[in-house]
Amino acid sequence: MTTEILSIIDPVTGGTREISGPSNQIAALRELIGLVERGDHNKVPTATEKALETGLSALEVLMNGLQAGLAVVGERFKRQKAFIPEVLMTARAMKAGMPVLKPLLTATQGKPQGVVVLGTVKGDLHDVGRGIVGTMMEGAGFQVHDVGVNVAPEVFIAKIKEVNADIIGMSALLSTTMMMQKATIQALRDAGMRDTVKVMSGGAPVTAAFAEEVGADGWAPDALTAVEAAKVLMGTDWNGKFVSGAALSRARAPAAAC
Amino acid sequence: MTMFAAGLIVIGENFNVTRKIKVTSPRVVREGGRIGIAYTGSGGGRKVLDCTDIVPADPAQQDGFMIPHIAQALRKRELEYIGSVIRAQEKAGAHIIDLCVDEISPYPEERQEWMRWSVKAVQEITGATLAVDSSDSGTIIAGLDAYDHRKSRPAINSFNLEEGREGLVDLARERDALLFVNASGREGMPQSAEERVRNLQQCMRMMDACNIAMADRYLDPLVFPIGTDSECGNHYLQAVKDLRAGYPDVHIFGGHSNVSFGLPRRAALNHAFTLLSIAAGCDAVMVDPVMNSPRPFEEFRYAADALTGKDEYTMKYLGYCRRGQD
Repeated sequence: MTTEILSIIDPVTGGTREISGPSNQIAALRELIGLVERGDHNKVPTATEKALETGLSALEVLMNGLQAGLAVVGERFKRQKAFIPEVLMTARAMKAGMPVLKPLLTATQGKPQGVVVLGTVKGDLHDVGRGIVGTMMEGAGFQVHDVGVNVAPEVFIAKIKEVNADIIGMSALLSTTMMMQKATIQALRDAGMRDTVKVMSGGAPVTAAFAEEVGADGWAPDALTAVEAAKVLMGTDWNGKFVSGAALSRARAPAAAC
Repeated sequence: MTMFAAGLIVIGENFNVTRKIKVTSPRVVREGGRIGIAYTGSGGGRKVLDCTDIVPADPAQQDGFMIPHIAQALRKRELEYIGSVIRAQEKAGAHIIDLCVDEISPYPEERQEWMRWSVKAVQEITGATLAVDSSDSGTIIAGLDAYDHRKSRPAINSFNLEEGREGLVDLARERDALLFVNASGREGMPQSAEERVRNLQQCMRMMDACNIAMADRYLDPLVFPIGTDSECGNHYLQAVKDLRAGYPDVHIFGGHSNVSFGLPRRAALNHAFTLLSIAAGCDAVMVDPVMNSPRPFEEFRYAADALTGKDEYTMKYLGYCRRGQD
């Protein structure tokens, strides 16, 4: 069988990467990327099985197929060429392949990128934006525990302890509830947990300057940059400096106000 | 004091400090090393709202930058600019002007100060009803304290079942204010038409108990973006139908442009949604009246009233047409 080369978007770095392999493997990955890209969640499970049958490992199918497909649309979204519903549809398609791969991934391979507790702060009942962040983080391999809206600091803290979270992602969609992010961070300090969990701050009225001022580790203007910022925070070379999502990719229209 | 003739009520949403203009907009001008937004002043002359201090100086950093122009006009206390925004909305058919300054500051006392200032400033410009809009009751009270009732009746935006809002019904009665009421629940945003209706029914009972006049109640079943859930539009429209069936005389509206958030060509979606909402039973809309109709919004209003039996023999519509496409 001839060897072929396929250019994919690397789901970890966001950069273009070439992979080579037997033509049947490359064809299977190309098919899978295309299905995820088009959001065809019905056909993804079978295509995932077919890709495994060509001898690709579960990890290769995950990274170079499912997640690479999601990355295509993610990149398009960043350039404002794709819209939120397209990203969500792609994420659904990508997730449709996971039940096929999960049992085959080794403990190390299947280990999440990080464990995230997500919630909207106390006093604030908005949930749409946070839901999208959760979807995109799961798509990128994070384990997400969404604790919902109107979440008191002690509820965040209990969940972080329960799931041994790496990251807490707080959302506030009202300028009147933004200060609750500061209060939640203070509660983490009081509980002696501030150094064991990384804090991400977001929501339409929340600026990078505000997030840094109240003591968060990272901030992002939208769901996709939130994923990027979370990856930076989880990186072994993160030096403790504040991570601003906007600096990772280009500035764009503000996140949902709902 | 008369409010407005029966017929579609337009609530202009443009006086909100979240409002932004793309730095690439043709309205953004660069002159003598400064950058600003060109507009027409009250005397008809060309003016520029200086935004040099908030736009990144480096052109490479400007790509995608959005200028928060209402917040800038407030900080610069540029009454002429504020006047141009208010007048444009009135010209486009707005009866009620919404005022929201929440995002100017995370600190309650600063928000309240800005609300007081804004109410006074805008009442100098227009005699229209102003909807004092905040997610914080303290800011609403501050706005009402500054309100001059001789010029118009205020509106409160908004009451709902969330904690801390209970007092707003009494406040509406004390201050003779119209009351906007949204379908948010005690524990979360409504996820269905039924939940919207149930929450608003509960609010209706609370307003009954306080003797709020039916004509002063504006129900908002809450519009969410279809970009995140395809059923959001249907949930809203179904709630409007059910509420209208139960309350023939209450006002029903929504933040109609929210439906198109995150999608391209928003005006097309907003326009279609406005039509569907009116057909479902809305008699008011909260929109950007300047941008959100392919026709002047006033013309649209006359057309909608004629089409929904609120304009006998289409006399108002014809009158509008004869006034010479004004």
